[in-house]
Amino acid sequence: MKLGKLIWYLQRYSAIYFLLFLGYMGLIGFTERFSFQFITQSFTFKLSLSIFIILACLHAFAGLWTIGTDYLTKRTLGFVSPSLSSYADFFRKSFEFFFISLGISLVIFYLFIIWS
Amino acid sequence: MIDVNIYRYNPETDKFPYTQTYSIKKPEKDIMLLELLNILKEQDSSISYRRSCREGVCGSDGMNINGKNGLACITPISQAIKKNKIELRPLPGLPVIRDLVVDMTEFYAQYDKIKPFLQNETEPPAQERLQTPEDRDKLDGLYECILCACCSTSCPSFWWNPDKFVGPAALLQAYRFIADSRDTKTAERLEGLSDPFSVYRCHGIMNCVNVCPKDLNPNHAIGEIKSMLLSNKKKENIIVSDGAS
Repeated sequence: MKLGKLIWYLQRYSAIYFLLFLGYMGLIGFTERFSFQFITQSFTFKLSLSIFIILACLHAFAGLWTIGTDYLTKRTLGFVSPSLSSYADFFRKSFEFFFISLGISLVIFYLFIIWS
Repeated sequence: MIDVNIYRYNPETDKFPYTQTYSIKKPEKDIMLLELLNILKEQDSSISYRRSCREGVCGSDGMNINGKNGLACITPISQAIKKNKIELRPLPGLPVIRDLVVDMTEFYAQYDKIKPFLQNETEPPAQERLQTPEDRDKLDGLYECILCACCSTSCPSFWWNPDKFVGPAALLQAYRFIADSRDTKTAERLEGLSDPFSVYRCHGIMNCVNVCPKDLNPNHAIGEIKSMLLSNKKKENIIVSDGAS
């Protein structure tokens, strides 16, 4: 699958999943006793929450990558200051490194909490 | 009297661009903005702008009129004037050569990228390649583009990535050839647009539709290209559009 198509599908399908997960949470609120015990013991909830966290990070990655490639470029920063534009690649790569690291850390951290 | 504020910049003499205000007696007739510029040009011959056909066909005099892109030759001053003022700036997002004249190189490079010519590898007939009236109707609302760049230069995605995002004008033309029953390179054309920037950087802001002086709908064409890229929609299934926004 082409990268453009992959990112497009990723954003749309993840958004649909978020909506479904929200509905699932609402359903649990009405039908189950929403307790800490339920959260830690229900396999379905733990699995759907894990998928939610992974997809949220991927969804955020697509959006933040778009922001970086729109606003942290030589051209765009050049509108602010010509000297700033020479550091555009460094700023963008740092920004990408930051949110990718943060995303991976968050996924590991939350999955550890959910499944341990 | 009306005040006409014009963006002025001559790279040979000016360090920075500035706005120059010309006060002029309001014409009795509702003339076009280009005529008003011609009157001002008689007062100050240093004002630079492009113009040619003076009837909205050549697309030379695209400019930013009170914050909205348009063609000076088909914009009446009654429509352009706001609080007795008219603000004229060059098309945004492209480098300024002088005053209202912009460097269109990046715009034409994107147009060049989509290969704006009919490609057909089958043996050419004796006279011409024919198409049915129904297939010809599919090109309405696409072929009329005059490449004035009003749409592409009103698009924020094009401002940020004019070297990667093809832009609404060129994408409208890309779709014009994708939709053409005589063109056989549909797959190759779609393949060339499948990266994350060429088409997918369109976020549907629709400034292009809002400013098009020919009332075309590049957003619809971009949507059709996306549909074809995502669902492998076939050329035969293209529905005739009215073309208007």
